[in-house]
This record gives sequence, structure tokens and C-alpha cells, in this order.
Amino acid sequence: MILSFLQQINIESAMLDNDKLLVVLAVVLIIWIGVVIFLYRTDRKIDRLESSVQHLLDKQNSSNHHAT
Amino acid sequence: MGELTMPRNYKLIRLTILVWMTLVLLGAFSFGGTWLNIPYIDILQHSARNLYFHVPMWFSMMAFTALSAAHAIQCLRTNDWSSDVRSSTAALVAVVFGLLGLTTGSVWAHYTWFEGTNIWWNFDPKLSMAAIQVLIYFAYFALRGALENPRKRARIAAVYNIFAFVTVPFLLYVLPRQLESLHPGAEGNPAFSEITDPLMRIVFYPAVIGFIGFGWLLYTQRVRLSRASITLKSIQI
Repeated sequence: MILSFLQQINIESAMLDNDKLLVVLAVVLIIWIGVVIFLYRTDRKIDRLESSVQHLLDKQNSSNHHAT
Repeated sequence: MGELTMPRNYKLIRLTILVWMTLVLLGAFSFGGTWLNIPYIDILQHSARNLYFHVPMWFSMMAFTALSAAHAIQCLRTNDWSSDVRSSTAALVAVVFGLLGLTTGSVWAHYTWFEGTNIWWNFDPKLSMAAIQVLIYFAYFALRGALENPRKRARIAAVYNIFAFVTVPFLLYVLPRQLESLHPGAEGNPAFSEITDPLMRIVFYPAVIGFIGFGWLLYTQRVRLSRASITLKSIQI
């Protein structure tokens, strides 16, 4: 009874089609979303690092100009 | 050297690549019986979908070896240290793709050519030459590690890099096709063109572009990190 009810739900029947190939798709998409979030966070860290190094560089350049 | 910042239009390009790759992943799986059927071939079965993943690894490796060699030439011409950073980073991304290509090929072969056996690898010419190709790029990093002086390292590594790139078409294309091999693309048999169903190309070509694009994102991150770290070291001195 419960099983036949579940099979009427679209996602369930889609998942059971094609030798459960769509289960693999679901897993791959979860991994992919994780990778994308990781990539974005790494980019944010690089942005912050670059701006702080640039700041140091500018400070050094301006003090060099001051000395000469 | 320019400012330490992201490349122009970086955020837009990144979004495009990531959305593109998501569509490729959806396409790679949803074809099975849902709206477009890929042909069913004995032994291969659904593993034919590996075409969308295993083969782009090699296309991406070739693209990044080309990028690496182009920056190596640039480095020899201009003596600019950031060309050296780009060249070595592109070589690193190429090695990553090469290793993934070898590993995925091994898994694929285990369940198709070597089905029912315990074999994961044989010294088929195509496989051996791909492995040698990856080793040639390993040697590039060994060479870099052995040289202390940054200017000297940049120039010697750039010269080696150009030689390494020259071997790519021979090891991955010309030689394996002259020899007997289980791998598609042997004995003058095209690896891809005639034996692949047209339906699969709808996903395959975008997958190649998508993986190269994704590799570019990883490459860009590494280049920015190296440039920031080298600049930081120059400030500390």
C-alpha cells in the first residue's frame, strides 16, 4: 500500500527507471554542488589575501618614495 | 607586473562555466531512456557514458599543456616571472587531468575489457604512452625542484616545457595509432569520429569545453595564489 503510493510520486518512479541511473545523477549533483561551494569560498579567501598583499605592497612603495 | 586582482570579467566567466558544467552533468545522465536513448552496446552498456568524463580529461590535459608551452615561450621572450608562474601552474593542472584520465581509464577498462578478471592495467601502447606523457610532466616538476635560482629555473624549465609539449601529439596521437591496441583509436581507427553515436556528441563536445573551463578556474586560483605569495616574499626581503 505505502509502496504503491510512493511509486505514484514522480521522483520515486523517475529514480527507479533506467536501472536507477538517476540515483547516480543525484549523488553526482550533490558532489558537484559541494565542489562549487568550495570553489567560491576559495576564491573569496584569495580575494582577501590579494587585497592585503596589495595593501602591503602599496605601503612599501609609498615609504620607498618617501625615503628617496 | 599588474595589480594583484582577479582577471577581468572573472565572476561572469566563473558563473558561466559552472552553470555550463551543471547542464553537462544533467545531460550526461538524463539521456538514459528518459528522452534520448544512447545506443545499447554489449560489454559497454551504460559505461559508454564515461565518454563524457574520461575522454575530456585528455582533451583538457592537451589544452593545458598547450597553455603551459605558450607561457613558457612568453617567459623566454620577456623574462617575466608571472609567465613562469602561469606556465608551471598550467603544467600542474595538465598533470592533474592526466592522472585523472589514467585512473578513470583504468576503472573503465577493468569493467569492460577486463570484465570478470582482476586486471586493472595492461601495457597497451595507448595506455603506456599516456603514462609516459604524464611522467614527462612529472620530470618537469622534478627539474624545477632541483633549481634554486628563480631566474635560471624559469628559463631552464621553460625550455624543457617546450620540449615536453612537442612530445604530446606523438605520444597521444601518432604513435599509438600505428600500433595494435584495444583502445579505440588504434591501427588507423579513429578514436571517436565514426564509431560514436551522433546523440552522444550533444553532450560530449560541451563536456570537453566544460572541463577545460573548470580547469581554467582551478588554474586561475593557483596563479593568483602563487603571484600573491611571491609578491609577499619580495616585500619581506
